[in-house]
Amino acid sequence: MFKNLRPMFLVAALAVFFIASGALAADVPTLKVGYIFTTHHTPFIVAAQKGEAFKDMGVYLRPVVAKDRYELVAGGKPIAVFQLIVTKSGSETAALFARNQLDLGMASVTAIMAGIDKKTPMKILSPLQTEGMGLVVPKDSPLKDWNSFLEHLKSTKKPVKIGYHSPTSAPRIVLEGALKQAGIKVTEDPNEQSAQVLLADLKETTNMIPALASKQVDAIVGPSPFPEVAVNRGVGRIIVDLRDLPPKGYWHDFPCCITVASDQTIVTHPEVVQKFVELMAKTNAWCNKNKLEAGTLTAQWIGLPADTAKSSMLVFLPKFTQSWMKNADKLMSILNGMGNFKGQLKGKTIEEVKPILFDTRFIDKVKM
Amino acid sequence: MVKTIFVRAAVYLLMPCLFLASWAFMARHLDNEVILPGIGQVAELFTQPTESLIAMGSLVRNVAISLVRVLAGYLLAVFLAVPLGILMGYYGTVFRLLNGFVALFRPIPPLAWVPLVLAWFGVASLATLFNVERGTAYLYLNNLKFSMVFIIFIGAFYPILTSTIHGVSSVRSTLLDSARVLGASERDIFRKILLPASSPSIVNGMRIGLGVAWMCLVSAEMLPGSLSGVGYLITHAYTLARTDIVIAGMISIAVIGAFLDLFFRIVEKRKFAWTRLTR
Repeated sequence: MFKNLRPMFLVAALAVFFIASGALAADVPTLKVGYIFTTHHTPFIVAAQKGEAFKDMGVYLRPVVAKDRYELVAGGKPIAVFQLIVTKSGSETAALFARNQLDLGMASVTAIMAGIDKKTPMKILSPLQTEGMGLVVPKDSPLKDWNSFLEHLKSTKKPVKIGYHSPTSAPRIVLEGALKQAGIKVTEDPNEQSAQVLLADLKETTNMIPALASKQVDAIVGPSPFPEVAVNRGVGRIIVDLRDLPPKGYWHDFPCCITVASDQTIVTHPEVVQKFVELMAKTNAWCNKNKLEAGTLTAQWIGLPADTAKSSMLVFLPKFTQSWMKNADKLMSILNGMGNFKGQLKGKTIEEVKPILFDTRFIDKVKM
Repeated sequence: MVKTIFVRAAVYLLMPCLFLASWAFMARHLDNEVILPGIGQVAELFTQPTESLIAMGSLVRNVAISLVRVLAGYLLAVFLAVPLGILMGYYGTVFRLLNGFVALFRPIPPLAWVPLVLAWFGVASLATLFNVERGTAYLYLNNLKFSMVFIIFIGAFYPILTSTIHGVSSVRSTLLDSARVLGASERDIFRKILLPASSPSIVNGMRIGLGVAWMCLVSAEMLPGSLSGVGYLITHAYTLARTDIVIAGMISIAVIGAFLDLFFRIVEKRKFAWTRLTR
């Protein structure tokens, strides 16, 4: 008799387990927020870690399950639950938006532009981070700075191989632009021996440090934290922060990561989008003021050595700036030149596609 | 006797010792821990298996999560592939009906399913299915994402199915005919002839399937939404140029895999000793 009751006992025990562990769903909407395990998304990581310490900002994240679920609290009340989804890259984030698997997110502007070009229903909400890009040479290289690097390029008999992680990534575009401005011949064709620089696609950020360590490339150009990690692991030395490339100020506020929301989320949960943007803008400002603490918190979250946090080159933008928009236009023209856009962004300038790319209503309302 | 044991032990240990010696030599020669860390550096990680590594939890925790994922996908594959294989191996009509269709999907690598799997399941997990959003239960259930389980399942499914079909269809027809002539029912034939005779092949398929399931793990744990498991730990450690953790993760997978394989070998030795007599 008891044998027959066993399955019922099991079901009952499971039910009690779920209820006792506080399993019941909350009344507020659950939104999926995509981010990448990178220092570029420091403000979001910091907001999650600081939690109620940001109460005075008027909006903050309250942990439900560490690193996984957080309540977005505004005006003392939870208005949404954020389920954090780690993605590997901006293009994966854009692909998840296209499949309706993300509601909010953070990714590189180029990846989101490429997604919107393919008519993925999403909008850029606010800037997140700029700069934080470095050119790294092997630790034992005699090259010290940009000028000595240029001299080396001009005197070399075979192309210097520089590795990058993605053809549409900001570090690659900025470096190529600066090299061309300096009169250096750049190629991606390994057979073109007359060039002074051969750009090598290493496919992923993960391959950059091993490629430099094993001397497969002569230098790497990449986004933070990889230059810092290369230094920390004793593999390389940063010879130039791409922000400082000549002409002076030309490469400042070069767009990298942004916040993004699906069109559906903007329509169905505008109040949540508003508070999310407010949280990110205020946390951006906090991170700029507290660089070391922000870097340390992110290093703890990602598992980076603490030293890399101290040497972080990142700058966080609370609002869009003229320089950011000007550089975004530059970026679009470069990507168009490379034939990257085939859809609604093809041949367009940033001004022409602003309504398709951006929804600035939320960031415009944020009072810092 | 003692000499024989010594020789046998030496044969077993020769290759591992040579491997370790080469590793130590190469690590010293390269002197670059990103390319190849020293043995001591990796061994140190195993002396503290419960310490958190690169903010991703301990090696033990991540291995345990991966083990549960592998077993979930693998058991699902066993429960589907074995009965289906028996039906396809025994009934010609079922074989003709399904074989061409199933064979179409066999050459597709598990990784090629990723875009489709993401579109179907997204980041849904058992926690989504049971609508669990917080608490301890959420922690456990959310680790079992359908997309990951599916990738592991698809990897394990075909080796098990193929071996089961082969095992059942290879049962000598004289055995089956003799049993029928002696008045055995279909149930008796299934329980007393078909299943025992095909078991060695089925178990061999399960053994291969488990190996493939582990091979699919790293790809499965790289799907969006994953933040745990030894596969993810390996990839994240690679990102941070922590090759010592990469190797520790690889060794962990190898050890767990070897123990599970040992289980199958013991089963084969104890239950299917008769196969040696039929050779």
